[in-house]
Amino acid sequence: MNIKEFSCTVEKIKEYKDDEGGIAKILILKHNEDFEFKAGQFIMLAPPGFMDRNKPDQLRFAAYSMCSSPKEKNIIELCLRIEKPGGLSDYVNKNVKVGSELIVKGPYGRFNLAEEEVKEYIFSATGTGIAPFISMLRLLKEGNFSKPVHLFFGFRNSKQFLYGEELNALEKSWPNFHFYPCCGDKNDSDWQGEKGFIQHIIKKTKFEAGNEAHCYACGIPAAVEETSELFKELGFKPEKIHVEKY
Amino acid sequence: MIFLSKHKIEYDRPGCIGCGTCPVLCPENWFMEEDGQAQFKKKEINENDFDSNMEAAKNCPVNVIHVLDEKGKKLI
Repeated sequence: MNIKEFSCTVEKIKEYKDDEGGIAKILILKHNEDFEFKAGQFIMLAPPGFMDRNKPDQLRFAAYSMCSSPKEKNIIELCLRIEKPGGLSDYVNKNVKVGSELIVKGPYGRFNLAEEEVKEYIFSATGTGIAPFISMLRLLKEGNFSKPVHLFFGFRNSKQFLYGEELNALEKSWPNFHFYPCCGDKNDSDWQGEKGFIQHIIKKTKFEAGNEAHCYACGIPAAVEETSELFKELGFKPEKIHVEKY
Repeated sequence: MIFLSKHKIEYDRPGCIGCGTCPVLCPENWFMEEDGQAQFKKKEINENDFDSNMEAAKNCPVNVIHVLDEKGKKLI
């Protein structure tokens, strides 16, 4: 494990904002470091000067999964939900613009693609929990992964359909990829697809590899726990169920 | 380095996010438990384990691992 700490420059910001004040941002960071990571891993992000361990009162950093593929060199892509005032995401929302500097430390984490031969992947994400799956999907697509890959993605409302265009395009161009987006707001008239909870869609989906599939859940803790329990109820092997709580 | 007495580990387990870094950097003293959080094998460490425990503490992303000297002062 080679953990590095280095500076990045914000190259691009994309914002998703809904009518209820919910904001998510995709940040693309550029760096010159020889930085290697596995799809699904995360980094610690901080403003310059805020990662000094000798000044714990100034320590202000947060963990974010990388959305970029490990094959994309000198780029780190992150997806952040803007949360309570005083935290790092609030700092990013108020202060970070294209050209700003941020400090990255990592990579960390064990939420990775399986190292054995995989017969089927089942991914389940809520909100910004989509981040590690974007990295995994980009990597699997680049490697022409030939087995089925399912992505169940629950989001608050149609304006928080993170990576919607990319995922819809991916499903059209990659026959092995099956995408099940699901809007949590049942009254959202802008969304014509599935509404409610992703667990209901998982239950009625047929999987080719039976209980041999590798199952992943990432996002808000309650949803991750519920989905993980559902995977067990459906007969998937506990050692093939991987979870990451945000 | 001369070890007159053993250094100690201080660990705030509830703050662990289960990233799995410490067992990789210091497998002789850290492992992952079934609930997904890290745990140490021994609280007192000797000169053989000192460097790797320091690495684990230094690289813990949420700073929940500390190494204390014989007087209880945090080295990291």
